[in-house]
Amino acid sequence: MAQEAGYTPLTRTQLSEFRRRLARYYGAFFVFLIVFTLVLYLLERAGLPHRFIGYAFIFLTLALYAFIGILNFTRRLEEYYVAGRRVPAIFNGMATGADWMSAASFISMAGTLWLLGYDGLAYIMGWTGGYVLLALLFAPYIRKFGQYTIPDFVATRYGERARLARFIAAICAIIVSLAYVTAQVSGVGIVMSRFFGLDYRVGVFVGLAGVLVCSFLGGMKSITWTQVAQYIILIVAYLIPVTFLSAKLTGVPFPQLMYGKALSEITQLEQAMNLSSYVQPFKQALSNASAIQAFQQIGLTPPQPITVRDWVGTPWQFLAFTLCLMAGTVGLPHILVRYYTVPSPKEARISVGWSLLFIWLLYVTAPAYAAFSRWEVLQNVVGQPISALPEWTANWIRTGLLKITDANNDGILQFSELSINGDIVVLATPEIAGLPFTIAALVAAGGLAAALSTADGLLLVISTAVAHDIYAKIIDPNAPYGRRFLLSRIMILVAAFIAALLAIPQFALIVQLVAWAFSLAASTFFPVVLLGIFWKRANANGAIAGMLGGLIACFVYMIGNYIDPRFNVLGLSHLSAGIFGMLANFILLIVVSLATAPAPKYIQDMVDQLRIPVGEMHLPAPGPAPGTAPGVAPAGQD
Amino acid sequence: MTSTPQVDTSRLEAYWREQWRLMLTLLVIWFAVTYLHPPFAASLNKIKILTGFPLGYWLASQFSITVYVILIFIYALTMNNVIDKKYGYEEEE
Repeated sequence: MAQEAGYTPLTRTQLSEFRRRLARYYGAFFVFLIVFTLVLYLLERAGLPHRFIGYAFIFLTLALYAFIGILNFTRRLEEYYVAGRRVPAIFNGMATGADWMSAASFISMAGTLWLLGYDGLAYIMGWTGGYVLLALLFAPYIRKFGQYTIPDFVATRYGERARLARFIAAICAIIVSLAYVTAQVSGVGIVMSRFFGLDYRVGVFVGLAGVLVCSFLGGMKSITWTQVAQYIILIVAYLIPVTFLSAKLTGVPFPQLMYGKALSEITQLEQAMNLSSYVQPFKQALSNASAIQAFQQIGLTPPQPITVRDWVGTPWQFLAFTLCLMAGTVGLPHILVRYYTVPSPKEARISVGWSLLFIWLLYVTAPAYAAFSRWEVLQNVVGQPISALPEWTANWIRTGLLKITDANNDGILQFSELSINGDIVVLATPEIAGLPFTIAALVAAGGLAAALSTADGLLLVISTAVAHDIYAKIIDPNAPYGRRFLLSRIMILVAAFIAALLAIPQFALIVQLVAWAFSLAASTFFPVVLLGIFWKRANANGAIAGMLGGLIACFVYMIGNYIDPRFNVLGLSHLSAGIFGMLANFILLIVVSLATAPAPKYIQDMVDQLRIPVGEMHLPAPGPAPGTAPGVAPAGQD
Repeated sequence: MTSTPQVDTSRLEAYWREQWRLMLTLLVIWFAVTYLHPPFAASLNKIKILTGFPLGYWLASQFSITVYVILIFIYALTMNNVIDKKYGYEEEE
């Protein structure tokens, strides 16, 4: 490991001074954001056209990200890969929150809840409960290990076959992250085109520019400090509209508590209209509609439409999907690497708590968005004369997100005559609440922040997987330091370019891939890292068999069920394929490890070190290390 | 610097057992708040709480996820301030 000379960790006093300085900066930024929004609101009332308000928000936020990026320009690998390992727990928590909450969390999750009702709560529980596993099982040990990437961990822990293990892990990290980053890039395009009327493709490239100024110059260091700012923007933007809506509809500006009222109103309206209940669980049938759409788009012959209703009403899919999302969360490389950046394992533990608290704030609010807007739609849209719909609907009918057809020509809008794109739930709330356009622009800036912050983290994972894991560790271990650095930067550009190319055609398959990313991560990294820490007997043969077997089992179920939903176990959909991948991985890892020789002594000693929450790791040197002589007990000297 | 540091095995083993106990306890709670209520959500929904939440929906949308946050802080604070201290695994300055 090419440790750089002169890079010493901060002392405790320096760290707390650093923390105070950060709190001052970001506190000032928060105040500035509020003042900026108020000023624009006053300008709006004075007659500033909406277009300029929108541009002001995009320009301000992108300029801010660029500024932080340039400020954090670095030539140190330790800063480029892991932000110098001096990010205080609470700030790493905010950065993880922004890293984690993507365009999908910000824009689409409330809409998913709107459409799925209770069943959508699997996302809420799955995407938060995973952090419990992260805190208890992973984060402090990953920090103690203290290298740069997740393949680093896999290769060192399963050091008997380091190169193969690293290669498989790096490829998995690249597949998972590339699917995910493509979705973010397309999210940027969507935000840009919906709010500011930019062409989708132009939006994609403007957004990419925003990502690149950050990650290209300062790597993890600038990404981290940008993500903290992005968290502040996205959470403020998320909370404001729904708080006003709650105040308008219920008189109490506390949506998280008051949407109970919305839920009971919804239930009554549904009964009056003979609709299925929003809060009723397990309504989803298995269908291959999304596969048909995806096949048609690429020009392949689509499979016959099949719907399987046998398992409606059973909880299996809900439970399995929740577990998949949880294990997948823990296995996502861009989240795991964030815990390399804190100063110590103790800080890592607390930092996961902060991360989840910041994420909780958005996730506890998303169902409120869904409930209030469903209430609004059932009360003021459905059952009304089509000529007298509320004012806010007109705008969204124009964008195509809201579709109404008077199928029975009675001039009244029935529920079945309404078709809603889920994204509208968050996007239209400012208008439903009667808020000025300035707030809508703030929401757009929030959506942009969510998409960019996640894209940043992912691009870095992809570039490190290539430049560090595949090139510097496998192809040319003697590569000079400068060349590794240059390659990292080039790879960020290449990955961003590929993501943009993949995002432009707006393949339905990409949306699918993101949903699958969790299953893939659960099938590969989760068991291997978990047993690597908690079971000394796990060895390289087991890990390699486990990762490959997990990947295959996951893919077989996924593709099989995606095309023909009659292929299923207990009614689990392809979204839960990770269950089978995880199971295969655990079984193979355990059986093959037990059938072959235990991990050598030096690796078992390393696992012991991992478990001690203080001090630095002493990794066995590659090559003829003391560990390669089996059975040599460490001598009594210090 | 380069030599493998001496690991006090018996101290580490006792420490590890104690962290296992805490971890397992918290994981059992995690499991319970995640998996025990959804199968009964339909019946639980008949009960209304707070401002009108159906209980099953409320458990999944607010209760479980709030318990997750609390569990992590309990784990982190207990490990850092109690168990690490007891076994002398503290940061030196």
